[in-house]
Amino acid sequence: MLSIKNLKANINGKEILKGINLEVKAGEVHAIMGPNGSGKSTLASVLAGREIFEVTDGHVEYMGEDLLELSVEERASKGIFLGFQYPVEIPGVSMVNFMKAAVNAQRKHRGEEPINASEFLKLMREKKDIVELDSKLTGRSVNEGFSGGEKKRNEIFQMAMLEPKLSILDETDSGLDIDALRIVANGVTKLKNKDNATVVITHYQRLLDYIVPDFVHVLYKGKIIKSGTKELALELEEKGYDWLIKDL
Amino acid sequence: MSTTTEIEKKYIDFYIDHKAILDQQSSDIVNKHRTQAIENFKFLGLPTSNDERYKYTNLSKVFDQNFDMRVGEQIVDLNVESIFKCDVIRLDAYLALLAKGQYVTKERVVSHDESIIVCSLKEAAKKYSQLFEKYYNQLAPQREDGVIELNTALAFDGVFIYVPKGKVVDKPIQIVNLQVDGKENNAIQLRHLIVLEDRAEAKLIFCDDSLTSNEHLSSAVAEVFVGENAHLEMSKMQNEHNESRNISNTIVRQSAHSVVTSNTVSLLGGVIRNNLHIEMDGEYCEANAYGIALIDKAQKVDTFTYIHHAHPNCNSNQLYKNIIDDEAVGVFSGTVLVDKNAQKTNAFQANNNIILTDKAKMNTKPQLVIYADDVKCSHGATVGQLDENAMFYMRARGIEEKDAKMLLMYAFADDVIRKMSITSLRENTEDLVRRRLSGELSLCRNCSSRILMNSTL
Amino acid sequence: MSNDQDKILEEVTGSDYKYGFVTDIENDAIAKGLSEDTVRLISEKKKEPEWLLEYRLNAYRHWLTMEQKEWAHLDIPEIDFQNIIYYSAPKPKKELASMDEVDPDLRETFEKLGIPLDEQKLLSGVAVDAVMDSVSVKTTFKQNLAELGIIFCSFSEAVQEYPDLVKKYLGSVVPSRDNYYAALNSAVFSDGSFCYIPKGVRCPMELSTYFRINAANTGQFERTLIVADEGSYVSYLEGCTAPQRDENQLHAAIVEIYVHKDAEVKYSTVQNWYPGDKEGKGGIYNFVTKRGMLHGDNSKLSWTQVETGSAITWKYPSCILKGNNSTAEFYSVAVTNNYQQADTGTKMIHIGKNTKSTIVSKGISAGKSNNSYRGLVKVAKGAENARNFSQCDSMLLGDKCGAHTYPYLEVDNPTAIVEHEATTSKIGEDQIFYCNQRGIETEDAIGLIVNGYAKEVLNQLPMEFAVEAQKLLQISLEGSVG
Repeated sequence: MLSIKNLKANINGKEILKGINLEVKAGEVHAIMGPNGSGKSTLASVLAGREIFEVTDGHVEYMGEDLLELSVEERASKGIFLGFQYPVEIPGVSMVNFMKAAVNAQRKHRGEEPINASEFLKLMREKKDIVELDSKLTGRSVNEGFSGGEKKRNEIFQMAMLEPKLSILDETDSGLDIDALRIVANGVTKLKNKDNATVVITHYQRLLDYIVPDFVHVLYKGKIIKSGTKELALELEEKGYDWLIKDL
Repeated sequence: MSTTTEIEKKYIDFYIDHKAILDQQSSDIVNKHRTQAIENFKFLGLPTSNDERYKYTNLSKVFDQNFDMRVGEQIVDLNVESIFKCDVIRLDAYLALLAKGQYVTKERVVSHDESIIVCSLKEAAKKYSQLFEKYYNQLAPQREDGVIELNTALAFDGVFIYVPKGKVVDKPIQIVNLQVDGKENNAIQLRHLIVLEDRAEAKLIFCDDSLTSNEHLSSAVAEVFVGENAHLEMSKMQNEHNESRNISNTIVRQSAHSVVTSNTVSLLGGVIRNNLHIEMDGEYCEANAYGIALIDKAQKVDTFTYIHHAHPNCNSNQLYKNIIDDEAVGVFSGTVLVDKNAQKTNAFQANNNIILTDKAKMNTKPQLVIYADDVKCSHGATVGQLDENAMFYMRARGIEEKDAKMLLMYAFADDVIRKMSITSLRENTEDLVRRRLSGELSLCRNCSSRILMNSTL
Repeated sequence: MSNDQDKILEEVTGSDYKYGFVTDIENDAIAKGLSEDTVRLISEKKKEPEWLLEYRLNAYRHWLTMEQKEWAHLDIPEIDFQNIIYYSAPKPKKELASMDEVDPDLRETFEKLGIPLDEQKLLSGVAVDAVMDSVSVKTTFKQNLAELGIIFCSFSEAVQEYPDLVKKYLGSVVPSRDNYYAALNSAVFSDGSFCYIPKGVRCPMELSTYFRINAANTGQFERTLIVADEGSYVSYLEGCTAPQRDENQLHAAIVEIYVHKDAEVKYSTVQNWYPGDKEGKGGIYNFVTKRGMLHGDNSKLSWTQVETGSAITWKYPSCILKGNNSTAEFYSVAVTNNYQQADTGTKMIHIGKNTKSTIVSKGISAGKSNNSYRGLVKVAKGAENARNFSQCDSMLLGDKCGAHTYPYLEVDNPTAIVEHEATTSKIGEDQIFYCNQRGIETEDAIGLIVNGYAKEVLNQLPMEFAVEAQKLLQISLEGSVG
């Protein structure tokens, strides 16, 4: 589904990604771990198409297409979903209008008619249960006045609404207490199937108790320095990153 | 300016009649600017209320008094220690004294470093002519204000402060401007020039006090240059009496990474008009302007600020508060101008006012003029009364109404006073404000009445 | 912001003004120029009574002595008042059978503008007075309204049919000497709408005036007078468009609203005069005096405006809160793009006791435009317990435009509470990215965000108008984020 080859990216002339290689197939869950500043969030942003990052080298193939040629919204319409580490507040724009615009953008891309109002509301009701999102929140402006945990749940809610093929969850666990973490992780697990894939970016092994990864990669200074299975995450939890770095 | 009014003519005639004396007092540099300034004044005239900047204060009325203008050298016989017997606050600071429109301190002001200059404007023009010429009247004409031009035409003295590169003045400098003449109503024009070079630091305290109850007019213009990374804090204490007319223009140009803070405390004065112009002439400038005015009787305090964000990444903060009692009138007009290229500007402006009586009045005009898109600018203005719920709460706890009122007013004022960094000044101000609020300030603490002070001089 | 967005900006800012067509119809127009004779001629054409001619002449003579004030943040090119046609009426091709019959060309024009003049085709809840150039073309639902005692007709008709009412209220809110453009209007006004809601009547439908400038070189000087008698209610809508022309045209209107005891008036405007092209050529100069007198106790007036058109806008819909417990509101969204200039806001004059006013203003500047909010809140001496809250926000799209806020608060009473807040912001790149990431295109994202920003105001509009206004906002700003 996703094939990253020697991906390099800059911000303001500073190289952050220094040659990433990664293969993600349908039905898989990948976890990317690494210390602060290793480039995890940059990788997520580059895959989503954030333009402040400049791709200087490498290739990314997604569903047989050159991903780097696509605009942000084209990528989104083709099924790439980024769960933001810091979801943005958009004052005055209700969640309902926002989601309707997003769902219709996707439908338009597939050549379908816009969703009708009752169908849409039904969909909203159905999906918000997945993350136990309060219906009050869907009536409010996008992320405005949401608590940290509500924002993260809202991200997973949107993921449920949009049914992406490839979800990249950037530090979705940060700032969550254990209950919220469980809700979010359960949501992600419920949405998992054989046709989609998930890339989970995280600091802590904790999340991986709930979202069990097929592969774990360690990102350090813009490169993947080690890949393994979920046991690697446990090892990291126990020993930290130092032993890996020393090995370099 | 189409026609010259009677009042304007009076000043122009005065200039013509006294030009010889004025010229004799000053150096060629100053006189050269004088000649141009009177022409500018003829063109601009005194601002009327048609000028948006003076919408709420008609200055021609202020100038239309039979003031005795002094331009020649006056004999000032002043016992320095006696000044502080009254409410002129005494701080652990270097002292420079102005009286009758002249700089009167004879001795060296700043003792710890010879390269730091504090002297009279007159002396500076002669002794440091190159330095002086580089800065004198370089900011004033751009304001296109008749009041400022008149000052350039008529002023001949004031204070000159120069802090060279990297020098830090180790103590605040207190500049006391005293009204001492007991016989006639007089009018003075003061001119200050303040230069802080790169990385220099200074704290200045300007005190306007009066030892006479006569009507008088004082119009002061200060041009202030603040170099890169330099830090300047200017505090102004206005504590005259209800017959005084005090107009000040402080015009600042600050360079990159510099910090300028202005505190204004207006306690007593008939008509006070303070103009503060700050031009940010580099990136990462910071300007803070704070003011508190407690006015009553027929007093008027009109605050005008103009902060020009001409470069990116600068911050400005303004907080001005007024407590208005009796028939007093408060005015605030503040403008923040953000140029097209001044991206990442942060500008905040607030004006909060309490009016206490039926006859008190507040006019406020906080303005944002913004041409850049990536900025955070906000302003707020409120006019209201003391919080009734808070009043009731305190009274229910047994606090007398008058005390409760004072507590609330004091809390209101304290937001501004807290901003003063000089501890002794802040404490003195707190004391003055507390006494002012309880109605004790019209009487001097150390003598039975202010008027009596005249005889001791 | 990114290059792509800049490109969209380039492509779409010149988006077409869809009302820019001209109706090819003959005009009965008088010669260019302004003099006492012009004023007399207009009055004569309208067969006006003597007192009205006197009113006009007084205004004209005073106007000659006045100067244009320059306090607004506007760059107004000099206007040659002798180069304007002050009266132009579309001339029907054939004699019409009755006053209610409309020339087919005019009918077609208004249909193109989305204002069908057949009552059957109209939205059932809206009665329309359609005004083209200097005259009213047709007023719909007159009959239905008359049954309730509501008078809704063209101003000219009101002068003939209800002279006492017109005489009583004309100039009672905006005196003929009020300001430069009000004086000009008082001298040369041609037509407009008149509306009277009798005591205790709640007007069952929205009343609406649609103004259309068609003829070239013509100034439009219409006049609207609304009187809400005791305990009555009316919601009034105003819309306007003009053809796309290279020269500027002047529109100087007056709207007077008189609100009696316990009455309530809601006045909504969607102003979409031709704004000029993307080089700033052409467009309407929109210099309008709108004011309401809240004369009676417990009276209520609410102004809502969506301003997207005009090359230059100068207007301050105002309220005089004279009655005790009167309530006034002003909600405004003003959008400027390309070279448009707007200096708009309100005046709230508190005179009665326990009066309350609310101001919500949302300015959006794009292109090379300048958008200013200017508002006065005045609390007079006797206005015990006056309350005002003002919220004025500005949004900048791009770095070549300007957003300015000039509030004036004058408080003369110690029991008043007056609060003003203002902020300036831009659409965050992160907000757009967030929308993009959810598959929403930049254009639509801007539309969403701007409509969200303006929601507080749009919510005040009647349903039919709100949808229209939302679309208009998006069209006015298409691609303007850079």
